[in-house]
Amino acid sequence: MNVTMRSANDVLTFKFNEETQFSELLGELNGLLEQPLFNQDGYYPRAFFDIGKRILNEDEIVSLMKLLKQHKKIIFDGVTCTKEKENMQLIKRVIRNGETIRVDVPTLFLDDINPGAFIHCYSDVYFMGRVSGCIIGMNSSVKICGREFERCKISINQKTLQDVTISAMVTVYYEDNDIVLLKEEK
Amino acid sequence: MRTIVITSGKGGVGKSSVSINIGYALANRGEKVCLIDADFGLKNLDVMMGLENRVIYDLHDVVTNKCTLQQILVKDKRYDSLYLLPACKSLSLEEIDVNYMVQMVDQLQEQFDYILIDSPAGIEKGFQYATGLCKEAIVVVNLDVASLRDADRVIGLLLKQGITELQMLVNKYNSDDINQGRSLSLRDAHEILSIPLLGIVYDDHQMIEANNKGVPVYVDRKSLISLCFDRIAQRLEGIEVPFMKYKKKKLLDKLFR
Repeated sequence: MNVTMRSANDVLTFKFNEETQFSELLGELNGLLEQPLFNQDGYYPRAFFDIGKRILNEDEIVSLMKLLKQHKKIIFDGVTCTKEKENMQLIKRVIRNGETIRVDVPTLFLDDINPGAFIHCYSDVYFMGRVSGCIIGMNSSVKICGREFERCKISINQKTLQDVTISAMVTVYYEDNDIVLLKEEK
Repeated sequence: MRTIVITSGKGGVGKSSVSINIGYALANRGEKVCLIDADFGLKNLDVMMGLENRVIYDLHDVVTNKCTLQQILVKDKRYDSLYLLPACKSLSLEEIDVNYMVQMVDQLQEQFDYILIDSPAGIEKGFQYATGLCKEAIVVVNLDVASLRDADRVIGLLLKQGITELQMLVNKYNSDDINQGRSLSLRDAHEILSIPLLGIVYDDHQMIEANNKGVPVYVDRKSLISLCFDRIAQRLEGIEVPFMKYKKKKLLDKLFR
């Protein structure tokens, strides 16, 4: 058996073997859903899919959903998601006026952020050069660190610091519904 | 042979004057130079060079097979190795195929050592057209915030287009304004743009006068600006020379000019 099923708190969990081909797993799931258990009137259990460390591609997700829709026996309750390990991204070049950079993983900018450049951060950012552009933290968990800010705009979760000019190690973060600028003491 | 676009982003910084005078300085060093006026619809290099009356054909005539590429090239009055390919008022950019322009530049490269393309202001189609024809660029700036911001934007776009050989030329440099803090400094410009400095051209009323008369300022070989362009041409050719130092004109020089 490459697909096992267990029930806890009215939720069925289908565990998929990580080694088996996905098409084979779908075949087995198809067989399970045709069992008499699922043919009871008014029985529509919620079902969670534990796929282990497997990462599904778009076609595989679509075929799983198609199978569930075809049977109409269970209510889809989610699937395990393996998050890829986040490595630090390195951007070595100057970010120039008019450029907009979206940062999804922790990123270290080695050179300057010029006036008129926009950095949209969904993850932490670290600046080694002069920052004169506009740094926007797109969620409250983002941290912005740098050591030379010159008339720069920093915004996290829609709270904004205007015209930030500091020559010291600084961390900017969001706490208690406000934006906090913490200057590192030597 | 080298094909270099002279651009800036902001208008009025002196792209055309710089293009013409670099052309003259290179020609003076014995190089064969072709200046291309890429400001289609607003041609002005011919006027500034005093060649307006010598322009018979324009690019439109080449596109429509009324003449050859050789026939539209206008030879300069003063230097035999300097030619102008004038823009034309009658032809819009949309009418010219980019591939056609690339072929034309390829053809010109066989005859010339340097092709200098005077780009129009802005970052619209005209700019893309001009920059799409070369691999090197000279970014002309003035020491003011607007010019440097626009230049920064332009440099970003040039890098995106794969033009990595970039040099900055500071035009209308005024030492008095810098010393008194009215204008930004060279250091500020270098910090923002982070590209090598090709040269500086001092602010001088002579430049305006020369452009109006159709006699490029380079022709006056005693002028400070002419010497600035000499050094720029030398640096373009890989010769290391110091930047020109500003000398205030003596009273007698002013009186007997």
